[in-house]
Amino acid sequence: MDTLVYIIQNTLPVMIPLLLVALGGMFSERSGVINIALEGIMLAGAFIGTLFVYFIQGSGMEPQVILILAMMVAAIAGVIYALLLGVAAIHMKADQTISGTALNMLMPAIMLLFCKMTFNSDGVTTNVAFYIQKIPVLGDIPFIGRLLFQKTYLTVILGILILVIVTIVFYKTKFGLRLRACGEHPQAADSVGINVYRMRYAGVILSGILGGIGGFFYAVSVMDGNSNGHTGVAGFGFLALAVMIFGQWKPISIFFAALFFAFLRTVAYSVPLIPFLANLGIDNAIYKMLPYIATMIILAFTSGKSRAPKAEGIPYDKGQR
Amino acid sequence: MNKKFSLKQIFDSRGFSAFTATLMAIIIGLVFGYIVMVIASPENAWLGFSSILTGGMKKIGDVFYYATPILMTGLSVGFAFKMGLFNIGASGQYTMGMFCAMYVGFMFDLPDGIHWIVCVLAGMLGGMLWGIFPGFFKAFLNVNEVITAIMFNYIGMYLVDMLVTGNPSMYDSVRARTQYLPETAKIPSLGIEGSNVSIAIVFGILIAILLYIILNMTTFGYELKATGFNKEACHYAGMNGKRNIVVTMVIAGALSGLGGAFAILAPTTIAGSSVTYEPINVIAANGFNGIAVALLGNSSPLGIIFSSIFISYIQRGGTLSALYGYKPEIIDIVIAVIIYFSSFSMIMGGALAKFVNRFTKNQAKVNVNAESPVLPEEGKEE
Repeated sequence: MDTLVYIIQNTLPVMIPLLLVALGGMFSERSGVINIALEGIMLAGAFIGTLFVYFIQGSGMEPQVILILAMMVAAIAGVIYALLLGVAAIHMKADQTISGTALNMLMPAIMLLFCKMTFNSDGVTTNVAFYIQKIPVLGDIPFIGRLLFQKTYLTVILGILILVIVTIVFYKTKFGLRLRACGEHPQAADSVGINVYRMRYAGVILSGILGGIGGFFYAVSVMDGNSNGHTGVAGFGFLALAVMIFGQWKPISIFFAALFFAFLRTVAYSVPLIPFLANLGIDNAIYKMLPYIATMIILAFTSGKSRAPKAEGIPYDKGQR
Repeated sequence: MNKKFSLKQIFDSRGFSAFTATLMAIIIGLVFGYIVMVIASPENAWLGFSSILTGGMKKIGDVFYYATPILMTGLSVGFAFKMGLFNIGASGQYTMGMFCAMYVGFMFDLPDGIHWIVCVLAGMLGGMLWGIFPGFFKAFLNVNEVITAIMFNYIGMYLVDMLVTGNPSMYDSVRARTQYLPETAKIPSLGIEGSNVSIAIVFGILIAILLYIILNMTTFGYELKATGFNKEACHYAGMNGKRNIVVTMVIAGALSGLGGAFAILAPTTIAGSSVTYEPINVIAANGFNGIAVALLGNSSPLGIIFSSIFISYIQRGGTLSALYGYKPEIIDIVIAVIIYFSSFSMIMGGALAKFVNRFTKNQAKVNVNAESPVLPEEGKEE
């Protein structure tokens, strides 16, 4: 039982970055812009967020207040970086895969250059204790409190909150409906008076916000408040892309896809602590491969009718009907 | 007048506008790099920048040595692009190719002169094996090739690291890297002094030319490009799209696998040593660099030859700029900026062609006898 609790406690902080970034990708792609640049956007958020923490950590503020402030800074950084993709993809009618790939390459280079020149290291190291032993009141709820509100990060609660907001915005508002229309049939959307360019910018900006926050949350809960230009976000941006496709470009499915993936990953990394698995004597690398293999197997059986947003990746041309 | 007419034709052609646009992107990237250098440390900026531009000349052997693997992964990504597939899995295919080449190198005892050839072929097979998955999943199970490729990058990397560390005749656990390969397994050197460059670069260029021929002069190449343009129309025309997807990905995998084999089997300047691999659970960077190479080369095999050499060239220059206190990451920034701007190359190229046309037309009005119109590019090229 303790092992299960341990695994769940460790799964959630890993899941949140994947979830948020995949949701960001979803907004972008459902508006019609392919977002390969998620990895770069995440790193922008992680880098600027931790840099902000680094400068503010001496001020004696509450760690959780710092976290929320840094989260906002990371979101702004993500938006600015994502706008580079937006301008290229929407205004310049660029090949979205190419500009996305370029942005993925640009961010680690900028970060390494900056960190090597200012800190003489590969990344930003902070010493704020974001880890929460137990959240007051909520942590005292029997079982559930122990599962969700002990030995965790604030990122988990914020992440779930964002998921709820995103789902409502996506399905229950005029904005969400219009955004989705632009990714399916932009010409039709335009004909009823929706500004396709504006909607696509909105999609990219939202992916910047969520990608930046996701990147910073990765730095907080996976990297213990640090960021590094060499390892970056360890491919989480690409994994989020996979989670988004796995989740069929739908918020709730993305949540389960991220949970599934993060769960298997956590199991793989905590094999020595699980007596049952440790006794099997299987090479640890097999467990590390497991999340990826399992995802592929599930996709093989479920993707028969999987469909990407129809107009994604195609620059919108007003003259084309 | 005759000359002008042909000039206009050249400017209007797609290939030319892509070329000038790439050139503009390169210039913008370099200017951006120079600005970063000026900000970083103004007094040495010009010295550092000129060492980026000319430094590669001093290490021409190394330029070709480092160009070899990215040429192969670039061809891999570019070839799949022609079919409309994004082969982000070049990295995993590269790693698998490297492992298979290494495995034959260590475990098989073959005569000199044959051994390395078998190693290279094994590397190609390894890459092909890893190329099948994205192709098969895409064609028959409707799984987006990007997700399969990403997943198999990780599976391949963990698998290779596991197989390497579990094999004592391959793995040197004290130094945490692979052992030195036997002499017979190494590709013959090209003979440029002080560099690891091997005859593999020649193979790479020949393969690129072969791909060019396949793409432009065979039915398969035609079907492939046609499918890249319009999948439904090709299905309607009776082309076997599913088979073509799998075949394309297998070829792309073979190319990346060769890249891995060429990288690990390179001859070294120090006798008895070899290139080694460190199993540290990191995805091979050369696969992702291949994407940049392919994009810069406009996915054309011949363009990719030049883009791989160009990227390798300024990277060598970048390492030399460290002499003036600059970090080599500046080159990564330059390359990223170049790729970013080349992504809207068509718009830039189109604008340029329009400008040139107006320019030549105006000139024709002013001076009907103009023999050689001035090219607006000439100043920029230098």
